[in-house]
Amino acid sequence: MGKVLEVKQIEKYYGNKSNLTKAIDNISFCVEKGEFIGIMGASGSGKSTLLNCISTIDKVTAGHINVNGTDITKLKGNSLNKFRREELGFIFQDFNLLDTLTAYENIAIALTIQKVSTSEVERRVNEIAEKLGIRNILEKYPYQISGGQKQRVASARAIVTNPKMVLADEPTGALDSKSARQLLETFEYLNEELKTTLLVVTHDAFTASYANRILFIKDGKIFNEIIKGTNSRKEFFEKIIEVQTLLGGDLSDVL
Amino acid sequence: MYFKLSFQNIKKSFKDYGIYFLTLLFGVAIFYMFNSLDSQQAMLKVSESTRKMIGLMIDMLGIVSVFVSIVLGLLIVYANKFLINRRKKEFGIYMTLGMGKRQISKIIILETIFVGIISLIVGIIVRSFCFTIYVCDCCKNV
Repeated sequence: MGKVLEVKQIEKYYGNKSNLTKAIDNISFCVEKGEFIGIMGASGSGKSTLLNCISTIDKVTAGHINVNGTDITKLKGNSLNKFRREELGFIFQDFNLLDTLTAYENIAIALTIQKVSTSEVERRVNEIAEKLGIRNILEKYPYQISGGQKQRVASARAIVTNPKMVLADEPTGALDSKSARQLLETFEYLNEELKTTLLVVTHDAFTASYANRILFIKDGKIFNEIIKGTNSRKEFFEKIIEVQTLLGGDLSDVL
Repeated sequence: MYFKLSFQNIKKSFKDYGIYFLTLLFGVAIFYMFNSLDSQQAMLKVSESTRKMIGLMIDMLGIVSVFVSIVLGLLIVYANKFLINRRKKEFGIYMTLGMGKRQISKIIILETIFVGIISLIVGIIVRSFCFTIYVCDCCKNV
């Protein structure tokens, strides 16, 4: 299995010379195809900045990010749009669905932008909706469905284009524990059955326990890395808590 | 696809577009009323002296209409900005889905043209209606 993502010594600074903040300080790591990676860290540790850099929303100050062999830090204009369109899927904390469109259209728009034919769009949307269990809400508008369903629609939109990588920023942040569990099971399914590469940023240990590998970030640096391996999820969860205690931070970060 | 999307956007955000629509409609009606005052049938029926006065009035109106067009222009620019600002997030979503600036512009242009055409038509109708009342009133006084 090849490397999908290769992050090489990236740095990201905010502010000017007199007041410099190092959001990311020399981070390097690789992601293999089909991995489920969690990125954890306290607030302000730079985890969201890292994700924004990988997702081309933000630009790095130094270093390179290779996705499938293309250096995305050098992409511009149309090739950047093409890259976002074809290689990436996004899942956000607050869903970011288009309120003016139904669930079906929200999923379909990702394909329509790629100029996929209508019959093909219909086939693929229905297929993915079936898999994620949102078939019966396809005709509803985002304000008519629950948060958990919205996030599943958003996930469907992210993966319907068969991207190389799906990036999620606090996907369970706005969900109650039951919906969060359902969503995470969906992620697990995506990762195991559809071989989607997932990169999930979270501060929630429970969410992270579904991943195969977790990177801990502290003050813009990689602090630790733990691999699930053959551990059960419960054991893995305990390990995460252990590392988090080691990391320090507030009680709210641990729980 | 873009056509459908813009059409749906207008339909769904009708409240937002309502403001824009009214602005444009008002603009078209006023503007047309000002500029077509001298070419009305009713104007030909008035006496010589009043015609002179009306001629003067129309010249004045010409100057005023330049002023009105500037104000309306600013109003439309402002209304447009307001609408775009409200929808910043939506455009952001389009971009993360991989739409280029070009395609987003396409959607906005389509929407603007669509609303523009409707307000033009309705504006002209409203104007004709208002104008009839206005001119009849004038004639009675003469």
